[in-house]
Order: sequence, then structure tokens, then C-alpha cells
Amino acid sequence: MQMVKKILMTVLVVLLSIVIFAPKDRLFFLAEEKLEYNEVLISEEVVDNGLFGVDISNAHLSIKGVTMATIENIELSTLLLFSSVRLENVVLDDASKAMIPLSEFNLSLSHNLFAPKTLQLTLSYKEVEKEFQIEFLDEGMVRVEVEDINGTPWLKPLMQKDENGWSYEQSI
Amino acid sequence: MNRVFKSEFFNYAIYILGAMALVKLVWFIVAMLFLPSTTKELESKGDLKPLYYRLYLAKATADPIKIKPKTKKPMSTSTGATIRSLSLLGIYRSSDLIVVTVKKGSKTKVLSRGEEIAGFVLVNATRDQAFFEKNGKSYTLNFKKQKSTSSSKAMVRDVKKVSTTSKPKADVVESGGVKIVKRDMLEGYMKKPKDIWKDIGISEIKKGKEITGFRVRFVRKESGFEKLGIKRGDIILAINGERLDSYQGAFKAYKEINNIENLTLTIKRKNQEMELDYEIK
Repeated sequence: MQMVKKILMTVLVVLLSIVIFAPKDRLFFLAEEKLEYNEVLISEEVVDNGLFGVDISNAHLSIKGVTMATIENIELSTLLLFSSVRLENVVLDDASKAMIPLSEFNLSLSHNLFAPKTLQLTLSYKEVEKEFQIEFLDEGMVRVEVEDINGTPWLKPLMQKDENGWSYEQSI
Repeated sequence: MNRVFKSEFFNYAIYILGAMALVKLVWFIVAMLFLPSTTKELESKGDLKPLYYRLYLAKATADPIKIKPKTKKPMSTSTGATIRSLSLLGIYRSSDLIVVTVKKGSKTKVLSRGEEIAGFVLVNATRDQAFFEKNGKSYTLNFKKQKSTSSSKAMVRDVKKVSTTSKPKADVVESGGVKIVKRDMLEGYMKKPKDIWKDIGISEIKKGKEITGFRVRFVRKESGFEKLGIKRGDIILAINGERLDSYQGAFKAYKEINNIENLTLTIKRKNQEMELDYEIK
């Protein structure tokens, strides 16, 4: 029993060490490089290492060279099995407002390794809070599901209604 | 105290610290060898604009000096200078700037809007005409006909004036070879950007990784873009002399549309490069 305890303790310490000692800022730069292949760029940001992730402030998100949004704060954190991204005070550029007519909102994404192809997304603005589920399907399709779209009329033209609620599918 | 310093516990603590040190070392090596050390930044073109001088370019059909019907014949001034004594050498136009190079006698002068030469004050310019005022009268100065020389031929680009219909349309009317576009029409698109993509479809054209232009896939009938003379299959190469080599450039032009008075679209149609000129009022 003592031996099992020691092994579990060691595993826990190693896992925590992997997260805590990780060069998180450099891993973020690596992620930026991967995003750049898809012409998505985060620029002008200030990156600070945290204990379990990175804090990024004043980030400008651009797609294909066009600035789409300014994000006051991005909090990326991971415990290996569970990871989350929180975006606070996202201000969309005029170009993006044609798609999402929100002036300012918060977004949080969470992922766990037990459901590797699924992301939970929470969008909140003013007094509205919506929970979405993003599922990466086979054949390069992504499906976004939301139970109801009350209070978000701008979502209606984008989504289709089925028996489980509202959904949106897009190939990536 | 005895418990803390039990050799078994001490050994285990050393073991744990060793494991942590090992993890730290591995991360250090990985970071040094495989991870980038700098962030990516959006390359901004800033406000740099290429010079867009039109020097005797493609104005083979122009009369040496043409005066608008409304304007009176050039008159001698008190100093004896007439509009005929001036030669138009070059026009540079951007969204917020008009610069004209004029020659008087052996002297050359570069004028921006509001500046004068021999009493003639520069008020405006289009692709190939400069407009002056003097003593409350309007004068138009055109490029002089280009003498064909072997050296100059090389400079002349294949720029063809687009045939335009004289039929006036509410949002776009033609006057003096230049289409005058109602600002309201453009502001409508600014207010409802979704309408842009209902009225026109464009897709990038790439040469390798570089964008060389945007192909017009469709133009909706009776839309503002059709009135502007844009047709399906056109390749938009530049706006006001600035090459469209990125989406950033395209959106920059879109954002500035409210602040500009003149607009020149350089397009490629049926393998011929041509320019569409507009005045926005």
C-alpha cells in the first residue's frame, strides 16, 4: 500500500511538474505558428507565464491579415487532462460585426481528454449567456450545437433547427 | 522532528525533487531546441503608399489642351500667363492627397491642392486632368499628346479607358469621362456590409503564396457594383494605385471609402489592364 501511495504521489508530482515547469510562453508561440498556417494571427499581445497557463493581454486577432477583434485578456490554462481558454472583453472589428453583431462579449472554451473531439463553449454578453457544444466530426466537419437561441436573434440565420435544438455545420 | 529526518522520507523527498529537476531539464532542452522564442506579429503596411504618378501614360487620344465647355477660353492674365503656357506632367492621387506636376516654360513645379502657379490654383484632379481656378473661372489642363519614341514606348502601360455608357443612373453618373458616384451608395454598403457579399462575389488569386488580385465571381444585376462598371471575371489589381496583395489592403480600402473623394480601380479584363475612375460626391 505504501508503495502504491508513493507511485501515485510520484505520478502526481511529475504531472504537476510538467505543467508548472513548461515554457508556456514558448508553447504559445508554437501554437501561434500553427495558427499562422491557417492565416490566423494573434499580434501586439503581452504574454505572461502563469502557474498553470499563460495570460495574454491586449491581443489583436486577425484572419488573412484583416484584424477581426481586439481581446483585452486571454487566459489559457491546462492541467493536461483538462484545458480551458477564457477570452475577456472581446471587441469585434467592424468587418466581423457583419457576422456577429455584438459590441463586446466574453467567451470561454473548455476541453477534456476524455472527450477529445468535443469543446464546450460559453458565450456571454450583457445579461445573455449561451452554452454551445462544438464537435469535430469525421470528414473534416465541425458541428456547433445549442439548445435554444432565445435572446440571440442574430444566430437564427446561421443555424438550423432539428429535434435536439439548433445546430450549425461547417467543413474545415 | 525525528519523523521529518527519517532516512526513508528523506530519500523519497530527494527522489521527488530529482524527478522535478528532470522534468525541468527536459522542458529546458525542448524549449531550446524545438520551441520558437518570439511571437508572430501582423505585418502592417502602415500608411506607406507607393507613388502613383501618371507621366504621359496612355493618353494617346487626348488633345494637347482641352478646355471644358463650361470654362471660358484661356485668357491672358495681368502677368501674361495663360493656361496654355502650362503643361501637365504628372498626377499623383491617393485617397487623401492630390499632387500635380506642372511645367511652365523651363520650370517644373509640384503642386498640391490649393497651391498655385501663375495665378492658377489647383482645385482637383482626375486620372488624366487637372482642374484649376483663376479669378473665379475654371480651367482644365490635360496631358499633352505623347510623342512616340522608342524609350517612352517602354514606359507606356497597356492602360485602356473603359467604355462607359452615357445613360445616367441614379447612383452613378458620367461627367467628363469620369463616373461620379453618390457617396450615399457607398455609405449604404458601409452601413450594411452584408449587402456587399450579396451584390458581389470575389475570390483571391494567388501566385505561390502571394495574392496578386481578386477575381470578381459575380455581380448582381442593378447592384451598386454593376453601376460602377465592374463585371464578372474582372480581376481587381489595385485601388488608388495601391496593389491589392492582401486581404488587409482590401479591407483598408473598404474602411477608407468614407474619406476619399477620388477612386481608381485598376482591373484586368480579358487580359487587358484598365482603370475605372470615379469621383465620389
